[in-house]
Amino acid sequence: MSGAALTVRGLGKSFAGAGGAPLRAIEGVDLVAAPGEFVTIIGPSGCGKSTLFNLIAGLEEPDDGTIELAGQVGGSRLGRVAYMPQKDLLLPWRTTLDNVILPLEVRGVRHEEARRQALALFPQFGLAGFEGAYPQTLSGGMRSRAAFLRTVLAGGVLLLLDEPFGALDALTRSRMQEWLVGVWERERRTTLFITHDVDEAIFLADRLYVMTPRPGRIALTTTVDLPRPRTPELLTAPAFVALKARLLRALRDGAAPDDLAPDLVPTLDRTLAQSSGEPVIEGVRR
Amino acid sequence: MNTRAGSATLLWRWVPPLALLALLLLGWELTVRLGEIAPWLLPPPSAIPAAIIADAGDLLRHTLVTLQEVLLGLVVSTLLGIVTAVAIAFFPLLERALYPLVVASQSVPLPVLAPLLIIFLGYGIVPKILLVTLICFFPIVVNTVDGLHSVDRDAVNLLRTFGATRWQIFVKVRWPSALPLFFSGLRVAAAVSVIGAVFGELIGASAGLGYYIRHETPLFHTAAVYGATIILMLLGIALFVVVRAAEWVLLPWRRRLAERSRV
Repeated sequence: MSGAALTVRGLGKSFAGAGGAPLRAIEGVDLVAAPGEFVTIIGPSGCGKSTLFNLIAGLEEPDDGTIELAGQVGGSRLGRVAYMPQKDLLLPWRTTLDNVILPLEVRGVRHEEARRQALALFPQFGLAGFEGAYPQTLSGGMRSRAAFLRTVLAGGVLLLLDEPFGALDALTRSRMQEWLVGVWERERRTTLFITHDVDEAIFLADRLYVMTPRPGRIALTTTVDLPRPRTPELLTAPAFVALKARLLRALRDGAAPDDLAPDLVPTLDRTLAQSSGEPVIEGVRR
Repeated sequence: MNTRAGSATLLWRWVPPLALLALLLLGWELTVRLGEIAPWLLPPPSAIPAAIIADAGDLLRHTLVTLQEVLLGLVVSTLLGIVTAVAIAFFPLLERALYPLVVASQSVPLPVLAPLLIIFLGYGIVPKILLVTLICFFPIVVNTVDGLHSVDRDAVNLLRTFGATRWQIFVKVRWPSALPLFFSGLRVAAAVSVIGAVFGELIGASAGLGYYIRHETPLFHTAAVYGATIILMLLGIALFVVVRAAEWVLLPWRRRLAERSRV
């Protein structure tokens, strides 16, 4: 029992890869998020970041390790964590308002009450006047904000944001980052944020983790001692640039063995070999 | 949408088929008149409206009978189709057990089945409803199953993270995402539904347009037979349009998509 909102210990997960050989997605991941902390996770694509989130959200169960959510280890995590996946997943047959109240509806909140709660947040999320609009008529940034509002209304002890701005153009993206920082600095909800963008990771975070390519492990963790409120000027501050250089190096080192790999390298996954008692050959296709 | 552009598109959509139809009718009319073909063999198209008007009371009565059979058949096949599709989509074992039977149901030749049904169930309305159901069931089930399978897995997972039950996931995500394809199936069903009813009426009935056609043909009232046939076609088209309209009203979120894809 710790005071953390989230404590992840020794998390490991494999999937059936091509040809039936198990593919280790993540391996021995330790992760902590204190209440009210903004934690970002950076890693190259295919490092098992989304697997990690699916595990924390309770969509899948780990092969190894434990996930402790607000002091509770066992039981289903479904309904206790607010998860915002990469796609905005706004339902096309629901208006913006009806989309964002979906988690409240599922929880059985009365319709008028759910609408009241949501409408109060519309201006802050830049969605005022678009309550009755269908999502397919909204801009990318607005869709993102609507999906985020839905996540916030989902409540729970933890916000899991999986590259929420990944599909946006650079300009909209940086606007959304600034907006998110503003919202978060007011609300201080415990947040876990996945990205492969180093600038984004530093700009948002209190603390950050760097993950290695498959199998995803934690290569580095560091606190981000940059002042809040965060403003765009920070991106060019010496402390920011120094931290960025350090993270890029860590990412490059973490990726090194893979970069050197020829087309198809059979690698002996020692961890798997030890746990199952027989060697497992894993093909790494590049 | 720009209204002028809108009416221009509308014009462009309707003029070619109507012009072609007019041309065909004109050719028909001229062939009959210039070739001096006997009207009982092939009446000129201009004789058909006259035949319809002359027999309007009877035709209306028979049309209503056929319409009733078709509508009841459509209702039965829709309810049965939805239940079957949901069962198939939810239980893989049922999919393997039921799907081949659903396909088989569409492959049974109606000319063989219709007389058997009449023998079993008599000259009343029930065998006609069954024949309509048999024809309409297949497109509804196949499309609805595809619709239920087309659900976005990620959207289902999102609902699960909200703590949603299987039932909530079905009501809030799976069923709504299946609706467009369900309506596609229903549209096809509506267009072909008339065939089932007429088949039943041709073989054994005391009323309905099929009965009327069977009754008038040996009397060489050929224009009246054509008239009844045209009414049957219009019935199919009307049902199709009604389903389209229902879709427009019930799925407002599809309107924009439909407009966009039409451009």
